Amino acid sequence: MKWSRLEQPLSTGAIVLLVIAAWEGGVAWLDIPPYLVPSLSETVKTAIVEADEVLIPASLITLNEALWGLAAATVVGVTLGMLAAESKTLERAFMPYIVASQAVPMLAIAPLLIIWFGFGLAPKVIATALICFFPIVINTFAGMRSMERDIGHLMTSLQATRAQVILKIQVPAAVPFIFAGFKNAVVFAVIGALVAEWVGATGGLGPVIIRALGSFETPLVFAAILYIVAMSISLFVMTTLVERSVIRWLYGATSQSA
Amino acid sequence: MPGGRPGRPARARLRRLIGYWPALAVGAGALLFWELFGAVTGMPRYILPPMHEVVVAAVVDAKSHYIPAGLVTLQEIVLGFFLGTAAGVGAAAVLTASARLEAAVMPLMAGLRAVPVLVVAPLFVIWFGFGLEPKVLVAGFVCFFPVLVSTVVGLKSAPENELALFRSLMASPGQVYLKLKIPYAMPHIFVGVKSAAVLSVIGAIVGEWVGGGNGIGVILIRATIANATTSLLAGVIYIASAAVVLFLTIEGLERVLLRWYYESRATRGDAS
Amino acid sequence: MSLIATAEDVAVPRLAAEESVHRIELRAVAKVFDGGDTDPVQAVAPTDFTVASGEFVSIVGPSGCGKSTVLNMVAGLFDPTAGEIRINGTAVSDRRSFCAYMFQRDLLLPWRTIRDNVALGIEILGTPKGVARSKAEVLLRRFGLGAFVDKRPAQLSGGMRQRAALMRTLLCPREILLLDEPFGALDALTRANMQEWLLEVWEQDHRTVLFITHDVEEALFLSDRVLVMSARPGSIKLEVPVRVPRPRSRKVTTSESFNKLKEKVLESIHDESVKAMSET
Repeated sequence: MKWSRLEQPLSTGAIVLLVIAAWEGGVAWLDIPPYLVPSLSETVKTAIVEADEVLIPASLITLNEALWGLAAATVVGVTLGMLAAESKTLERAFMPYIVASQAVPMLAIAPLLIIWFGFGLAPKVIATALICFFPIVINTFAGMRSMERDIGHLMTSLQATRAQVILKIQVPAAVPFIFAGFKNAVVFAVIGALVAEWVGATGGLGPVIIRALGSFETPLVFAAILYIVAMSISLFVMTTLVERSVIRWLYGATSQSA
Repeated sequence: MPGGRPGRPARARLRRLIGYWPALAVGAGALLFWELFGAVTGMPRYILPPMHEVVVAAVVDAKSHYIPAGLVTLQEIVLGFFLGTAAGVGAAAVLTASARLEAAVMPLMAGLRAVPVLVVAPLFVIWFGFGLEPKVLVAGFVCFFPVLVSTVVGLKSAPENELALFRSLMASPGQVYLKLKIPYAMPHIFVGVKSAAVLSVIGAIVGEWVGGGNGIGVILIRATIANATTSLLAGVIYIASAAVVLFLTIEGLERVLLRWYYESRATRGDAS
Repeated sequence: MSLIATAEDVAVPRLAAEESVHRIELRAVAKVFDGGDTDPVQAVAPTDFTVASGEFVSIVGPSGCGKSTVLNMVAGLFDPTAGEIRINGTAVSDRRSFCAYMFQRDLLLPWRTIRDNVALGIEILGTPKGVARSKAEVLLRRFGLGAFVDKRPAQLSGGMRQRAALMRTLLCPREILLLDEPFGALDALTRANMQEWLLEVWEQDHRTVLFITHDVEEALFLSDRVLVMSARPGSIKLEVPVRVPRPRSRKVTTSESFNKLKEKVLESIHDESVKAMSET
């Protein structure tokens, strides 16, 4: 069963249209009040009307928090992943906890961050970083350790120094892994910022949603969700584009994603 | 070991355990830091109360406070977990039945995944009120996606050669699922179910943050507002324990179920 | 003018005047692997053999007999548990500086172009990157991969990749080439081509080669001498000189004398394989 290249995007598009039609039609037909479920047109209208005054400024605040958190997670995660791959002692000191942290709901400590760091930028950045950190550190670690044994033997037979092995083999080999981890992290970045906003903030999309919920302005809630999903997806798409060009530059025309 | 016990494996196990001294050192160091933080830095108590106070609070207030609240949250977690997992596996089974359907719907699912829990939670509260239902649904919602994705991947992981063999034997679709696709999917499904376990805890907590009630999530929020860090930390300990227990239970289940799976594979390898 | 652009840097001592000194000499070399949790494994029983300067010697044997272990010890990747390995007549602790090693898998780095992959060895040995690259390119152009210098490994066939790996090995200014089943992963036709190509390249500077293979015909076609290893723990069981004049063409493999040698080696290996099978 051969698929033409267009068939899949077309059928996905068809399903999206179907969902939109059902949403729009269902709301109109069943006469659902907008405070319960606003129609798509109502949502889009709100997203546009409230854009300049409310949604765009709030989105920029949330995006700023998410990006700083992502940056912090990347710097710390890549550094720690590389150090743990290089040192057995560091690996054994930290990796068990990093793996175990997966079994602990990190979001639950968001309130603690508010107590520690107040209502400013810091707790949001840290909450985002805590969520984004895991996939980055794990993938960096795996990438640095992905060198095959025989390549290690080849380097030994060439009397390569540690620095040569790291720079010429391990780091380039880790790049696709780091991107894979980063892509996982990007999806959670906006969520992390939002959670910290929820627990304590005055600016950002979190408070916008809380206020809208309080006054049953559900169309505004939906519009804010639209902005959040748009931010997450564009971050993901941008990462994928950067990844593709970096991998192409590094690995030639054929991508070798890990 | 002087006068030591014979037997290589025992000694090797001991050696491996001793090899993990850095982890023990870090863990002990972190706990010590926590315990002594206030005394050494002179920071106010609400920043980080000493560990023993938190443990004492967690134990002393257990009956009056944490256990009743914990049971409420646990109910949400467990119901949400089963709901989300069952829905995820079911949806994956339906989707993988047709390659066309799967290819059309899976990209949408990836997009839906980017919808944060926190934002869905308030909608569920609007739709379903402030009772048990919205929390269960939030927990189920977050469990759904990882289980769906890993099950879809798993159900497609049966090797082409073995599928061809089954076709040549004129196996019925049911036989193909039971004897081939599901066993191959099991390890993948467990990956999704394990992350669902942790996510269900997050989902229930977030549901309570948004929708109130009598659970641990509400204790956390109240403690935050009151700067009652001891009570907050004690609550976090309960939540983290619940997540870890759930996670380990599933891992134990996986070990039992997959042992059967791997052993059957091993014997098959032996016979050929 | 020697084939390898770097041969002048090598300053290979010409040992022709001193025939008594062997390039490689193994004296009662044995290897026991500490099994960790399991029992120790004797991989190589006390083994003696020598390789003369400029000689092409192959080791064949049943799988798991320890031939790769022998090669790894000569390469200096690890030390023997007993015995002594001498190079140029002296026991050297760092044998790596005499040997260039090539593995069954090409081990080309997917992010480097073919030119940069071939340059990798001398680059690590300290040649400036630009010089290393141009030397690699000269070699690639001379031996039929000129059109691929800017391609990545993924864009080349298995045979071409293995040729590039061999060039990376040859470009290293080392007196001894250690080749561990370099064509083992290739299909039969490509393998035959690669053998002829290897001989053509080798004829240009006659470096000392220790070659591991399980393909008896390959060993006989390439080598001056073939050593047959016994089943584990391995040791040299039979030594077969191949007195076929060089340069050799594929035709020699169908001659009667060649087939007699082949039969002899195959029989000897067969006995060992049976022994190995019955033990497990």
